Amino acid sequence: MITGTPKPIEEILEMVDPYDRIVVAGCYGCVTVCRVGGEKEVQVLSSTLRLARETAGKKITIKEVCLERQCDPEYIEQMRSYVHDYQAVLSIACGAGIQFLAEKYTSTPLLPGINTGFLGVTERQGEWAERCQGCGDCVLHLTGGICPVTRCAKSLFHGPCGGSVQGHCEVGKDTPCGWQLIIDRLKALDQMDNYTRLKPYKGWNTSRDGGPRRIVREDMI
Amino acid sequence: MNREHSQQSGPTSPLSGAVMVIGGGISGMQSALDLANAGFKVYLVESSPAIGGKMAQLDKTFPTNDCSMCIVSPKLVEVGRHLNIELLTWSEVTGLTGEAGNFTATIKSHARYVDIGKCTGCGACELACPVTQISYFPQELPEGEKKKGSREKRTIRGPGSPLPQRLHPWTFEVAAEKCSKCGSCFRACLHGAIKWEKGGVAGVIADKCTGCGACFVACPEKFSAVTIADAPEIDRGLGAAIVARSEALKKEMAGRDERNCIRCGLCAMTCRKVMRIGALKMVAEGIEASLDTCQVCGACVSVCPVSFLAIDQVTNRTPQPLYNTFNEGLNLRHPVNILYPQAVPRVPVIDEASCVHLNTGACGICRSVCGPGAIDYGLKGGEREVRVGSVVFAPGFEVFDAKRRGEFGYGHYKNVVTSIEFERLLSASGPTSGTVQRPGDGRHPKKIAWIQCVGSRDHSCDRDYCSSVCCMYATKEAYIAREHDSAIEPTIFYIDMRSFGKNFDAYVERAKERNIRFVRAMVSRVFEDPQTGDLELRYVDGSGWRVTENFDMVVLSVGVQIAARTRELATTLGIELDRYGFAVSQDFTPLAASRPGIYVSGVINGPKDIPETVIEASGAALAASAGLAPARGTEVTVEALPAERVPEAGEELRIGVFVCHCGTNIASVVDVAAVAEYARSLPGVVYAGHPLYTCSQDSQESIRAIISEHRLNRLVVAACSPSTHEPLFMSTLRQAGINKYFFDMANIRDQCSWVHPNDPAMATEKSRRLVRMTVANASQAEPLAELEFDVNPGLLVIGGGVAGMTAAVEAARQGFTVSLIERQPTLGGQVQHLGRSWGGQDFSRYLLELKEQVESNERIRVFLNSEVVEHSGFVGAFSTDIMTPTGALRTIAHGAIIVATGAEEARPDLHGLGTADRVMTQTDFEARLLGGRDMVPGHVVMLQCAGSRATVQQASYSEPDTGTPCDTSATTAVTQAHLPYCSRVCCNQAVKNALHLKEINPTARIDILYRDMRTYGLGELHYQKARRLGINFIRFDPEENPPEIEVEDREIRVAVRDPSIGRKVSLAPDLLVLSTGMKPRDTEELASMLRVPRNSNGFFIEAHAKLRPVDLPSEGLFMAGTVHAPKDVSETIAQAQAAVARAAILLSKKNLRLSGVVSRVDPTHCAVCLTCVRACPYGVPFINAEHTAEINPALCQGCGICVAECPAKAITLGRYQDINLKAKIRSYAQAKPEAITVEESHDG
Repeated sequence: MITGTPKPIEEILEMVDPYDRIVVAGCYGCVTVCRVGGEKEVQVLSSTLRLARETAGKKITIKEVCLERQCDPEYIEQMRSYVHDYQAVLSIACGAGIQFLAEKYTSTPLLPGINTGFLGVTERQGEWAERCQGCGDCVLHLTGGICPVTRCAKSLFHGPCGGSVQGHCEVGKDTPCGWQLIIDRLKALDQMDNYTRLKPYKGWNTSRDGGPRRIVREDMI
Repeated sequence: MNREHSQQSGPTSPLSGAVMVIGGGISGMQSALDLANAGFKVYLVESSPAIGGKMAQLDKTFPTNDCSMCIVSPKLVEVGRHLNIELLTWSEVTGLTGEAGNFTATIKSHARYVDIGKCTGCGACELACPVTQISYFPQELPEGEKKKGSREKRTIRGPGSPLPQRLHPWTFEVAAEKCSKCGSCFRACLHGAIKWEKGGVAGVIADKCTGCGACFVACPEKFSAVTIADAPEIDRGLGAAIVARSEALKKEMAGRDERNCIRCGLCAMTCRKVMRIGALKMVAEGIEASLDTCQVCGACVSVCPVSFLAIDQVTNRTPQPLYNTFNEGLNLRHPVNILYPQAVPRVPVIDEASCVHLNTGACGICRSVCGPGAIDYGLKGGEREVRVGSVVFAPGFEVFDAKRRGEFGYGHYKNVVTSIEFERLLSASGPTSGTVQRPGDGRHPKKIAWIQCVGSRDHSCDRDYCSSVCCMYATKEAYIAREHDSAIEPTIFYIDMRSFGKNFDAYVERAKERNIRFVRAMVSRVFEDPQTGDLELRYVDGSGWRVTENFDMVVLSVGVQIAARTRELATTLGIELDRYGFAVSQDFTPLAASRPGIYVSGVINGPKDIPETVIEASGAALAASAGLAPARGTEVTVEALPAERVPEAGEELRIGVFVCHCGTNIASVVDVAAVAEYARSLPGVVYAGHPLYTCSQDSQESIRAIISEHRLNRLVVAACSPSTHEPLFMSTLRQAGINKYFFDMANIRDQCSWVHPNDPAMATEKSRRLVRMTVANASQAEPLAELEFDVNPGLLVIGGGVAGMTAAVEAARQGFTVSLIERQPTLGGQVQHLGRSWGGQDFSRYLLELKEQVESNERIRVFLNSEVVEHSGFVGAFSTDIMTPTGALRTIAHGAIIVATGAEEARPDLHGLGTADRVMTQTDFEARLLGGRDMVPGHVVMLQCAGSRATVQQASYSEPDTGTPCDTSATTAVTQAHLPYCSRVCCNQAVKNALHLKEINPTARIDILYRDMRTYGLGELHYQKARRLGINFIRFDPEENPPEIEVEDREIRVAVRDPSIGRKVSLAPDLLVLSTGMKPRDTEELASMLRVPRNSNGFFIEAHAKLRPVDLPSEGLFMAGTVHAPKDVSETIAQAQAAVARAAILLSKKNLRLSGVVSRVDPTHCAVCLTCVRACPYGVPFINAEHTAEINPALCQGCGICVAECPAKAITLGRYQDINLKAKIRSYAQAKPEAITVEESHDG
């Protein structure tokens, strides 16, 4: 799931300051699940904005909407009938969704209401952690199901660096050393030979290093 | 099994289907509810005017700090409203004849002088009553003798001259035809407002009159020529008018601290004309009091609007203040008194000893102010006989009389209070409204000391037993005191910290973190500094030094004891008590009293805390009904209801609004007629009325008539608190054939008249707004259907130990079919490894008998070597798959579950346990003692808390049970060698085994190394005996003074510093016995299948730590025994009985009806995010096969947490939808009423 955190309300208020008619658009996808951009947040954010603007003596009209997904064109089309009646759209979907909206409604300014985080998991209610960087060349079968790209701060491929102390990463006490985790797991799985197996250098061209990526599935077109 | 036959005999059965419960505390209430809900008629007899008992007096409860009143008041209301509980308060049992199954009880009710049927509990009588003292009532004079004049007089003066005021004056007139022309009035008037000439008729000069009534008082009784022409409330009587004027003047004079007489004349008029005494007279300098004729009732002081009169000035007799016993005498009360604000029944009692009217015939103010006419001085007490099948005796306790421990100065030193008094000081409804103040001078104390074991563990005053609760309540009081005022520095002086219950140790640790100081010392004396009221405590500290320390306040942690009255009652009932007054019972029938058919619960059965009491109460209810099962349902009343009218589509709104006067409670501040008038103008309202008491019985009838006459389809009541009165109005609505959810309530009493008494206009305006909002909400109401379904009368019991087998046998006796599942090849559980019980009874024989009862009972099916593998369904209709030894699956359909999977003795890898022959656990040792004399050693060292109460700084230890399911840390903590908690039973077990060894080998030497001896309750007696027999108890501290233990092949060496002699002792025992505690069995999979939470130690979490200790959070699931927390065999049996009692409530019903207020998921919006699944405290939501969250309405408790949390707003809760709240908010904002249109514009 793509995670995110709400932007500070002060920052949002500054963004919407020039406008008095906006759309607040949520998304029923990932951001609903991680509690930053669903129907409820649309309503809470809109109410907060209305209250703040009314207090400041600058009333604002808000259209509240929550799209099924902001990353699919068909759902974005649902806004076409009214989007031009408003001066801006404040989206609380992930960065992909916001950009896609901006792409489709070129004459309407798009404002981001959240800071998009990472591809992660819900460790427990209210706590998310990063698990995948989308490097495009998965090696999890060799590393006990623990990703060295994501879990190691340096994305090393051949074991821990010198900064690994008692299972912690030198980045911070709260960060476990990814390689410690991998080695512990490999031992438990009796797969330590994977650790000693020499891996060829990783081609980062499938990752961000190759520039913006695109997937084309001929079989689906 | 003889009873089985009598069951067949049907209606001719001589069994009574009723039970008498004696005592209306938490124990009696729980028993009554469990019995009545399981189909038995209950007579609940309570000696005080209201139920609630001691729990109602407490401020908070340990270890959760829940407010005691908040958790007990729903029970009070439930008992009060229950159709099949007949409340007999202010009553006593005076006789009991007959035998089990068919008793006749004689119940004597005292005269209440208030008609319970008419009283609405408005409290106007108590507010009006001016009496505050127990009077010296004038003796009736022999005929012919004249009342003697007063000999002693005193003129009461203020610092200055009287300041006559013309505030709220009355108008006086002289009736010319009655005037005897005597001139008394002329002489009495201090303002020259009477014109009179000798031989002429007197007259009042209106513009000079200040309205003091001196003329009225002076006019001789036989002429009564001076009359009051104009005064508010005078039509109700002079007394009512005086009280009304006094209130008006008090409001006027508030905050002025006037110490001079304002010559309102109310005192003199009250004394002469209301009390018929005439001891007060207005004179030029002030008030002249006749000291010897005064009856010292206190009325004059009460009506005085300023701080001029005081009781000790008007008399030379010693005033006898009428103390409020509910507040432990910390403040005063009136003769007419409602026991406490939340009392049930909320009906006052008039005290015969102090009421002026009942003693002299004067006064009568309360009757004149009572709107519903409930006060009747002619009411008499009565006696009645009721036929009952059994009796539950739950008389409760009183606290030890602290005066008997003279060295602490209680009763002499004002700032020494008892713990129960301190509870009242902490309570928001107490005498100081929750401010911690010293009773001596009202100052805020800083240093407060608690002295433990006052009247407990004390042979000198015949209180040898431990009261079990004081260590925890003292910790709680200290904790809460600091929450009220963080400047308070509490110190608790104790002998042993007996925090032996579930999560208690963790609570004490939290208290220590909050700067509560614990000092292990017994305070020897308390001295008061007479000038400051401060207290000096002397004690000997841990290192043996004498210490003197000063405190601002001392709280004596008084123990519990059985009242003398209770002992008399026990004699009446014919049951045996021990020397301390506790009921004599057997270890394996812990709740049965010595006379068959009588069951005991609560403190009468030994000191205990609230959850244990609640367990016993349910258990006693079960035991009391077991023999009466065939008569179930024979004496109960079932409410008959008309068919519910289905509203037609688009039916017009016809709202009826009732605005309650509540006597004067609301109407004295809020203009109720104006509010009703306003309500009539609101959209949809077709009827608005303002009854005097909307909740009275006749009002319910008239509401029903109005509903049908005006064809109302919505009902709104603007009155008091919905939490107490909503069910009443809802049932009235339902009786009128309308869906009960077409109701809403505005609380204009608590939120308007009570909080804004000085601003009637705004209070009225606020009432209008609240009514407007409520009407708006009612217009959005939807009918909710209450789900009804059949109940399967089968019970599934998981676990075949003592708890499970007891539960199975008891349930079978109640007539239910039982499936008993045991994982092992034999029944018996942990008790198979134990020797004998406290009372010396043999466990193996008991187990044998129990097994025999289980196996021979036709209603019980036993599945050995079997485990639960799948579980589904909901309360009343569960389905569970079990794996039998053949590997086959078997599906059992049942209505309820009792989890009794138990615990086992922990076997930590400590001191060579398991490898060295001469190191063993208490259980091993117990078995060895049964081996006879040859097996017993000469010298034994026992080590307590071996691997228990480990100082663990894990998060799991410091957090209380939060009820969070999916607790993954449970297993890891349990598999650790060290148990963080106290196992409760080990101290008692060590003492028991030590005594057993002494019995076999009197010369044996036994050293018990302990941290705190937790021989709670009557276990203390055995502990004392052990000390007397020369068993050594050596205290150690695992951090400061840990024992050094070396175990070798041939030798065990133990060295420890004995703090009582201040030296190190070296021991070389033959055996080292470890008290290792108990740990729950592995239930991780079971808990996850049943969807019930366990705490970090692996014990199941109860639905409510205090009041629902046998219920699991999910409906229809109960638990018994050590699966809940460590406990001994008697406690386990009681809990097994309790679990069956709780299950019987469900199983005895043919069908169940559930609340209509349940959450519903709209699948089209559900994001399947799991938020509701994680947020629900009852574990109800789940993701179904259609990939959407689903909430089973049968399991939903209607709390609304999922609704608030759902990020997609896909969940709604009937009655509390956005549409309802928005309607209320919009209506709030509207200045003028207008048609409410609600637009919902969420496209998405």
